[in-house]
Amino acid sequence: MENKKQKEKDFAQMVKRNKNTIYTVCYMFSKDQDEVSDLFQETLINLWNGFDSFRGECDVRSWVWRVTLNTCISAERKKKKSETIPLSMEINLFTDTDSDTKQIQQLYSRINRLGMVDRAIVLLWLENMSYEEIGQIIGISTKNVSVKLVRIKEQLRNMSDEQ
Amino acid sequence: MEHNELEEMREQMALLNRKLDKEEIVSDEAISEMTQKRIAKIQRRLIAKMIIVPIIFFILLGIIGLVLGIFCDTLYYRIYQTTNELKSANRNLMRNTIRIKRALKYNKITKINTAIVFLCIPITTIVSLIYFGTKSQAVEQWVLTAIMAIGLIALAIYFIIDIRKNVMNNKVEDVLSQVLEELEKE
Repeated sequence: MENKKQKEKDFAQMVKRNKNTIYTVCYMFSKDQDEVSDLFQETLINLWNGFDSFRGECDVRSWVWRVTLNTCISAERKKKKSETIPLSMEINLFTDTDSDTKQIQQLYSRINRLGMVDRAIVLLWLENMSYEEIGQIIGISTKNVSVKLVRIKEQLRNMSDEQ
Repeated sequence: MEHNELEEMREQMALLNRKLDKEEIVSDEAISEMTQKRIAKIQRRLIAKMIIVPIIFFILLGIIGLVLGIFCDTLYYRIYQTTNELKSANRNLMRNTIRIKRALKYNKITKINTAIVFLCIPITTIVSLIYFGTKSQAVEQWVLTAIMAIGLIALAIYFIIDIRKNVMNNKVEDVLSQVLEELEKE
């Protein structure tokens, strides 16, 4: 029982430390705030399920990224909405209209137009991760990461030209 | 151009992080509620598995027993046939000796049933221990012990019944051996 409580406490701390990463990825892979909540919950469940096997075995940050990206990429949206945990946020990055949120929405519209894997790669790259780290998280070679990033940059430039 | 755009994206990402830093996003209560629900769900599944897995073991054991039972019954029938033919006073000694030897061989084969049960006890125990040992961190130890105990008692009962059956087999074997000795003397 004590062990369970401790695990829950450790888990909550880990979530708090990585909330930005989890939220950012969920946001970039969603269409609205409800979907963000769904993905957030799904990610927390997957993190919780893997928490025992993870503990102390590898870098927390990489593990959180990997689980979150895998959850978001593989999530098949269910027609029937399931009960989700309430996100205690005062901002809504989809509907707010202040200048900062507009900047974030621009980032969202750029990233959201990319394919699923490309979206994951660019998010990791924007987090200043090395090609090696990106490769490890996505499960591709370092060379493949650099090739993909060149293509993604090209795509982003084309998007900008179109606008 | 490209450089500026990517720099802009990095700045926007930093902005997003700063904005999120100010937010709680998910409260301790929400995380606690979610994990509690999850634990309850995992426990429900484990309890279902705890009930189903031993049943499956026993069903499998039952199927093995049934197949062996049919196989042994066939052999018993052959022994019966052999002894029945001996009653019809066939005095061909050579033929009768071969028949009795065959009947004794069949009788020995029927004993493998006991060997299988012998093997099933440790196999079921080990498989159960490995299975529950890796999956049941959230389940109370006494529940597992109780299930293992029930499983072992059931197997022990099966084993005792099987031993009684083998005592009968031994009697058949004794009679057949005596008949064989008599035939060989003649």
